[in-house]
Parts: sequence; C-alpha cells; structure tokens
Amino acid sequence: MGLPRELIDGIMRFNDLQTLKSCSLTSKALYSATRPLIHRRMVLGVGSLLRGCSYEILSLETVRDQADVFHARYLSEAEERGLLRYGYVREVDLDLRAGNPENTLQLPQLRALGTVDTLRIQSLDLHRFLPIFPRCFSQFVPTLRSLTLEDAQCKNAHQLIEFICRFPHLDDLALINPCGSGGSAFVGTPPWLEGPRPQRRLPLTCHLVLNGTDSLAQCLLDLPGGICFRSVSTRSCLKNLAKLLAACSSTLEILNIFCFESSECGTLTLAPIH
Amino acid sequence: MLNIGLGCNGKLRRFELDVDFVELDVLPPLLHKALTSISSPHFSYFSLRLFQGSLEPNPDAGPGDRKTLWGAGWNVVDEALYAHAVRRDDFRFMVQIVTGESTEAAVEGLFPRMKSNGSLLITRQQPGCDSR
Repeated sequence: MGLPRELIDGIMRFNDLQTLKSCSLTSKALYSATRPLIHRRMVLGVGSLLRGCSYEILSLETVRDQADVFHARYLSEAEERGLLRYGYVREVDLDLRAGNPENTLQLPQLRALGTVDTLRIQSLDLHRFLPIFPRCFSQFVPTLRSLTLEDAQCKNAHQLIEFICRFPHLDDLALINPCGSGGSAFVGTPPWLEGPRPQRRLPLTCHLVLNGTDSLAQCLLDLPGGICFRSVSTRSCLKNLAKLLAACSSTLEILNIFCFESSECGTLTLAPIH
Repeated sequence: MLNIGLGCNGKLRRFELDVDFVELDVLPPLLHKALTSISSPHFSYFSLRLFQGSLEPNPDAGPGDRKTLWGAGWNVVDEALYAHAVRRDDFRFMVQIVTGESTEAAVEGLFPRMKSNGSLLITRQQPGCDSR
C-alpha cells in the first residue's frame, strides 16, 4: 500500500472489530495487518468439554466476539494451509483438568504456534510432561514472556522450577496452588536434590503471583541471579515472604497481600525488616 | 508467626492488602508498623480490601458499644496514612468493603484525618459480589 507497516498497524488499532473484519477481506496486506487485532487469545480444553466430543477441543476466541470452536487438529491444518504464518496467536490457555489424560499427549499439535508470549496452563502434570518437554513446549521457548501454572501437579518444587527455567525470557510468573501428583497437598523436598541446579539467569522482572509453599518460594530465591520482580501478589501464609520481598526490594513497586485466617497462619504479623 | 517485610522499599508505589476472616482487632498495630516503615517517595496508593467474613455487624452491640467488630486503635493508622498524604498530594487510601451504608459511615469515622484531607476513598460491593 506504500505506507510503512508500523503506520498501518497504528491506524488499524483504532478500528472496531467489524471494521477490522471487513478490512481483512480486502487484500493480503490488510489481512496480515488486521489479523493480530481480530484474534488474540487461544483457549484449549481437553476431552468432551464441548459438544460431547471425545477428543481435544480447541477454542479460538476473537478479541471482542463470541468464541468459535474448532477441533485441536485445526492447528495442524491451519499450519499446513499457511494460516499461522502471520503469527497472530500471542496468548494460549491450556486447560488440562478434564477428559482422558491420554488426550493431553496431543499437545504436540501446538508446535504450529511459534510466536506465543503468554501461556497459561491449568493442571499440568509436570512429572509426565517434563520428559517430553521438547516435543510439547519447545516452540514457546524463544518468545514466551509470561507463564501461569495453576494447580500444577509435581513431585516437588524442583520439578516446577525446572519447568520454569526452560523458558529463558520469562518476565511474568504465576504459580497458583501447585500440588503433589494425585491432588495431594504439595510437599516440597529440599531443592536441587534430584537434578542439576539451573545455570541461566531468568529475567523475572515484572509480575509474580505466588500461592504456593515455602519450599517453592525458597526455590525461587535460589534461582541463579535471584529475582527482581516489580509486582508481587501473594498469600500471607508464606514464611519466606519477607525474604521474597527483600529479594525484590530494590525493584518492588506494587505489593498485594491476601491475608486470611486459617489453621496455617493463626497469627498475623506485619513487621518491617531491616 | 508470619512476618511481612516492608523495610527496603525505595520504589514501592502501591500496597494492596486483602483481608478475609482476620479479626480486625489485630490489624491496626500491624498496619501502623507496616505503613510507618514505608519510606518510598513514590508510595501513592494503599488499598485495604475487606471481604465479607471480616466485617460482620456486632449482634450484641448495646448502647455505647461498637456496632461492628472493628477494633480500636485505627487512629494511629489514620495518622500514619495522613503522614503519607502530607508528603504526596496524590496519595490515596482506598477502603473496599462488602457491606451496607452504615459501615461506610463507620469507616469514615475511623479515618477522620484522611476523610478531611480528601484522600479517603470507599467503594462498596454488594454481598455475594466477592471478586476474588
């Protein structure tokens, strides 16, 4: 069209969804310019969650429109037809809570996604997936900046940290209610006993959401180069919270603490550290 | 025993505390300690969010008794907050509660200096609209 791409992108950002959709049909240039603004999030469920299907389901949502539902194999087909060449998928939600666990082995179909910067996974069984990490998650490694693991199942905190350390460009990290395999309470073993200590320093400079155990907090503190988050959100029952905040003290801008009375923290104390 | 350290806080801008099922009597001295330990010149927002379980009306309140289970000692918190408000014009103290109008008035009564300074903001959610 003769205009610089960044200028076109800037103009497109001010259009509503209907206009974007109309523009996307006019030419290849406008298709590639509007596609990232039309589709933003990808939500993936496993097994018979929608419409009674017996296999993996992919839900590709538009930014402001209702969700369309596709089979997971859509990804592979989309890649073969060149629909993913513009790299418009930036965020992926993986929900592995329901369905036949064997269906999660279809995760390699995600290999078509090479530009994802935000990944949220619910109920990931790390014990099963760490050995096949290259097959399932390696495509996210170069670009992933934000990782959320909710109800991840693992044998110990080390497994969780090992998974995190495979993504060298992480800025945001959310670890919510990690638990032992089979849903038992997460019990952390002393870190680094079962594997090599990670060598690379992760950026980890933006947001931390941590609803986990003290051993997990300690593992984060033991990461090479430490942590320097700008924003921390956590539950107050962590005994290592003071250390965690101290580690981020030079960068911390936003602190959110959720205090609740439970058997785990009968006494609540807010005290300055020196 | 749990310690939340806010000692080194050179860049702290926002402190958000969400409270649920914690006896409010214990909060004022702890908050006072935390707030007075914040030395960041950028500190401009403190949010205290109280979920439903923390703010029940006192069913046994008689004449002269407190009508809610809010504890005593909030005046020192008011003072500590006011000290921050004096340092920064844009400092805001947000109290988020899940309750009725009577408690809103009670909250205003607990923080008279912040109220008079115009730095106290109160938002109210309807019961059942817990946004956790």
